[in-house]
Amino acid sequence: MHKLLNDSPGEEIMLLGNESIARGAIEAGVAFATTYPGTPSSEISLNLFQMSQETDLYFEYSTNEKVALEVAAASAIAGVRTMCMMKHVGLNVAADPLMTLAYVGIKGGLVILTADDPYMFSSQNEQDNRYYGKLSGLPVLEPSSVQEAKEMTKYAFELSEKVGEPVILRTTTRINHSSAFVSLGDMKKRETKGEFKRDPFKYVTVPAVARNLHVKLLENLDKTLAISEDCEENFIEGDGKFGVICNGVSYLYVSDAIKDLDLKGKIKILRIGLSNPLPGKMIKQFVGSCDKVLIVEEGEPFMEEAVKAFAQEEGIIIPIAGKSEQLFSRLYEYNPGLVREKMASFFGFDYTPATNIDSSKFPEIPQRPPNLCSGCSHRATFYELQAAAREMDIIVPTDIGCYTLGFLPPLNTGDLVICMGASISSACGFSEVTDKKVVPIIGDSTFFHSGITGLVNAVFNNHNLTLIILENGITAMTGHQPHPGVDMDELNFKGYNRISVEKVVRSLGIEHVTLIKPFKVKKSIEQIKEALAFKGVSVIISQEPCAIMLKNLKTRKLRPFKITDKCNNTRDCINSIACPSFFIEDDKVNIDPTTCVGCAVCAQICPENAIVPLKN
Amino acid sequence: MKTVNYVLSGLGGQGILFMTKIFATTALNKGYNILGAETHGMAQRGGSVVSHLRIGDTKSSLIRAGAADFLISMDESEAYRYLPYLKKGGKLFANAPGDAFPDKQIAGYLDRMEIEPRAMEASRTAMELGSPKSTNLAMIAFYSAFGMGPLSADDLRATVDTNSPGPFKEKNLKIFDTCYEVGRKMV
Repeated sequence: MHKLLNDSPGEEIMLLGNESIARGAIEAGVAFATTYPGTPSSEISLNLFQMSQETDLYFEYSTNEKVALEVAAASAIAGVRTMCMMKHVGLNVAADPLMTLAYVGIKGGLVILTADDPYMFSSQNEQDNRYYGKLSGLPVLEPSSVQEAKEMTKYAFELSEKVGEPVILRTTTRINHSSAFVSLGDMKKRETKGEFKRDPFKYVTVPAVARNLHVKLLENLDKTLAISEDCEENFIEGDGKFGVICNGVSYLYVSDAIKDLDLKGKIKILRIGLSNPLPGKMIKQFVGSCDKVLIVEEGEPFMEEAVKAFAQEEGIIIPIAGKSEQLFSRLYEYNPGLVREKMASFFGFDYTPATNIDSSKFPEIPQRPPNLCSGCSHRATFYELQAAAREMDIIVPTDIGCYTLGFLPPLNTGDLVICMGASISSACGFSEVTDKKVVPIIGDSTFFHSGITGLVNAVFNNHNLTLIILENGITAMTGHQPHPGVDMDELNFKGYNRISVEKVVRSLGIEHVTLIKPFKVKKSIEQIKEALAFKGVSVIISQEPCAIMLKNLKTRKLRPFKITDKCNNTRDCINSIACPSFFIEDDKVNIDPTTCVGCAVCAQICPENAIVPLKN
Repeated sequence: MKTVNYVLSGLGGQGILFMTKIFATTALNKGYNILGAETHGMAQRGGSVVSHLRIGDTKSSLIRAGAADFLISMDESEAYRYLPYLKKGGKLFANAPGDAFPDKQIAGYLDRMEIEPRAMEASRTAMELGSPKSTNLAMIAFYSAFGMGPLSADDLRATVDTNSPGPFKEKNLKIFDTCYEVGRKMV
């Protein structure tokens, strides 16, 4: 049995934040769940997917976040408790359905989880998705701890049904990827079937209907405001003439600072857990009872600007601060030390950091950018592209996935990244305004997510580009989730269909389609050269399963290579492909037999033929 | 109990999540409250990884710079990277050749901070014992030999025992016992 299906209420088990959220959904009786994977949200989906294999919970990996939310919307409109999960930038993709779904409303609780990523541990930006609550008029809930993440997920379903609207549950990486003891609760029975009653004047959002629906949305927002003023999620703690207003993990840092600096009785806290709409009355009373107020929130001054406006309405003139050069930044993640220091300086308490760290004399520490894995086929394809285009000046718009990592030397493959799917569409633009050959690169999962539309555009408008689709048979970067091109039978999952990347591409009428096997170096270079010479849209599909997936599936025997005495130390291997299995010992290149998967790409590059299989 | 803070560091792929799990499960079995903060996702692709583990009553899972009691690192440079987390008098355990560790450049800092460094070639030992991927277990065992902190060597060993799947149990315990002995000789 899956550990999150443990039916012993009251038991405490150690859970990752994302597991806690998945358990919260299960306790709330979630019966339908959709997602497109994205760090830091991925483990929520993974756990729900696993549980769907042994229960009547319906779970799907949808093509992209917009699709996921639309599938989820119908389920919730039909009255089924539904959850839809994504990373913060995923909500941009799903923003279109989000905005109008708010007008339509739901019947069964719908929780939309957005996992924000301050500091961009695994993301291309650190946008603050609380603003989506404001933009759409939907309630936003923000947990502070792993345990609360479970409770709040449960509450989000109730709140959603109470106000008839989807609820945005906003986490940050530090919640998703922290672990703690969580006390289990009762599991509500899943109601898996819903009912849809025709009611076009409620559901068909033509202008005449939408005008009425907007009125209803504002009424629902008022209902949520009343709840926000009087709910357990927004609370005041402690007392003192100084006040701190905080949310999310910042609440924990503030609490620890008050304890550690012995400020009990001097500083009180207003913790905001339901942050849209903000409890105006509560905030006014709180601010009115303070001499000075500090707002501690990662990201944008979402609460700060509102608090200042509330204070203005009340004519309260006290120092209220948050983001400034001396205090908090809009950049990156906060930490306990920073919060402690800023609180002490703003309120005028003594605080000397425990240590004065001068790390200038430390040995030089290597930068360690994430790297393509040993035996990753992307490395081979990038090497071959660069070799094929040696005489050319190419632009390579790349996309979101493991292969983004190819931009660093020595592969130097990747010139622009904007968002999922943008490789192909931006290539269309480059091809028109520059005279260079444009070679967009996209993975198979991202191709299905939002690359197809760009390719259709390229064909229709007859742009001159050579698209490389890296078909490795999985969504690798986020932890090996399925996508529509995955062979689910091979992974032992029944009841799925597989969509062929090649057939999709050919169906668009593209004349020049090439399949390459990237571990055949010479042949691939010739094939890529040919495709690059084609004028118009040409597509190269580079087919080789993800090395890590094969390792996990144990379907391929590893055949590590070694470097023999023939090696003259020209180091073409390291200098051109830099596989992490290489290491230098006594000024000689070696191959780590425990990580080498035997792709043999280096063996084909070595001018001395010095790289051979370890065992023959 | 006063909160005890562990910072674990290493490289993506060295098994820092399993290492964290062993410490956390041991603490849990002892009835301690624990909080952890981990690295997932992109950085796991060979990048620098760190895990914070706090045992005791506290709210935030992150450890402040200058507040860690123990820094256990599976890689020498990753030990230096996270050194500022160690408090005055904190203990440093690194996977590094004992004769060349610590780097001369940090000797002064360690002295000033009264940090006692200890090192063993954990990767090499794991490799020699036929389990090249067990640097994590080697470092847990090495640390446990010094009898510091709330988790004893016996407790940690028992957790390794229960968390090792059948075919690996014997090898894992052998690594544990060998590295424990390496540590005992330095006590």
